[in-house]
Amino acid sequence: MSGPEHRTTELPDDARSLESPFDLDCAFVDDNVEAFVLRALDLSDQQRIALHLRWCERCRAVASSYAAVPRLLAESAPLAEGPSPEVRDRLMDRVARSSAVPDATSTDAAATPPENQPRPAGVSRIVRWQRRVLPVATAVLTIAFLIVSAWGIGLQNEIESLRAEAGQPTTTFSGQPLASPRLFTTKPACSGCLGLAQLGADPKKTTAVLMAWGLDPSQTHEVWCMHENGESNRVAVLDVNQNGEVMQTLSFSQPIAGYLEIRIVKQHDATPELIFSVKHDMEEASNPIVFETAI
Amino acid sequence: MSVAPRSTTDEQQRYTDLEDAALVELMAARDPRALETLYERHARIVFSFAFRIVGDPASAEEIVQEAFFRSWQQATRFAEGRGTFVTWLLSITHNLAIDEIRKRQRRPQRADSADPVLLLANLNDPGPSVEDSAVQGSWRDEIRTALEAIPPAQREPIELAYFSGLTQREIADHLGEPLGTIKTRMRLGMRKLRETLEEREVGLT
Repeated sequence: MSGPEHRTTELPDDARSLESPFDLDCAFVDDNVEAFVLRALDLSDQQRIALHLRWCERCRAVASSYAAVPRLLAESAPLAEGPSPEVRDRLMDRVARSSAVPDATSTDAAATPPENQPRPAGVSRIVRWQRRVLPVATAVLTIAFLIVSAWGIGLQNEIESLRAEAGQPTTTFSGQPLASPRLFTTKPACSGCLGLAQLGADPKKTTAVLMAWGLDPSQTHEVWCMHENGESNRVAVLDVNQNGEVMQTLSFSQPIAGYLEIRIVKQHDATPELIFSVKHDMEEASNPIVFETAI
Repeated sequence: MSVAPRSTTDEQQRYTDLEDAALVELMAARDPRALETLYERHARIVFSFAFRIVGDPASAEEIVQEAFFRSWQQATRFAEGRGTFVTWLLSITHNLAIDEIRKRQRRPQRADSADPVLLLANLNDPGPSVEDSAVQGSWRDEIRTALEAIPPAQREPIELAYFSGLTQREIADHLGEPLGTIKTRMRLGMRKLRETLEEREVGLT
């Protein structure tokens, strides 16, 4: 059974490029759909099928015939007495504590004069980033990276010093200090994409800190990395808060400098929303740290 | 939804009379009474499921608390439409419980957000009837009967995958069977389970 004739959901070319490495045949889904529903496949196959199902209506229909089975299995568990009353109390205490944390958005609302005319949501967001969130967040991220960088270099020096004291050669040190931390900034992938994100990372390393604003909190967002050979893979699902903001540590399978792009996409809509042009930015500028100018 | 209210006050009764979807909307508006009501309604099912996976009550209670807390935190996302609240809650519980046993066994965490339950949640969702305690017993009997109708050799891989979080490869190693054999048994067992449940009309259409 071949795939393309079943793909009735049209996606833009850019989105298709995201799908291309996982362009698996529908027969693969037929052979593995039961295991997929039970999450019994290896992680890569699990993700390949999940991606395929988002745009192949035919396979989604096949998988949906099993959609209720996991819940029925869950409810096959013998009915126990139930948790102790303390669990409920602990839960409600935890909720009360979490609710007691001051909410910045409520302060914003209170500070808005009632006579002010409401502004379009997009404009309001941009003004908020420019005037308050973005400068503070950029400063925090930059300081964090400077600290980590200094710590990395200091740690290397300390290790070399200890090794020198022990009479060991220092050339065997295999770690790399954070010698070239950078701050990458996204460009919108579409005219209606209002979000903004920054990625703090040493391009030679496989970890980074992502900060993003203006994402749609009702959507689930994912981070994808795009290789030069056209392949791509998902890196993480973002835990976006109710204000559309997220700060998250990401782990990649290879040093960041090796990627063509890193994209933020909506989970059920493969269209890129924000793009880090890693390769382009690396080639264009060689300064170790790029500071964004706060407005 | 015939669980008796904790008290007879009008206020509590008003919450108890609300359906899950309405309570989730209130929860998204940060109303803790809505969470409390959903907890009273579903905690036993969630605990039973978690206990089935992790096998000890203390861990199961921790998972119950965490699952409900996450539903509180993520209520706005759920409101966008991801099937029924129970399906969503049980999916959260499943992920937490499987992560717990994988952690105990020093196996890598799955950490895949490609949760098929959530991906397919708005399709063929069995609906909210399960929380009606009047039909819960017969519902569970139907499910267990359907499971028992599957040959043990086919049921075992399904249960090892779902309740122990094993992949097909891990199941093959565990049972000392070829991977192909496990795949075939799992596929046949799932198909029989689906067919049996369809015949018994317990939710799959």
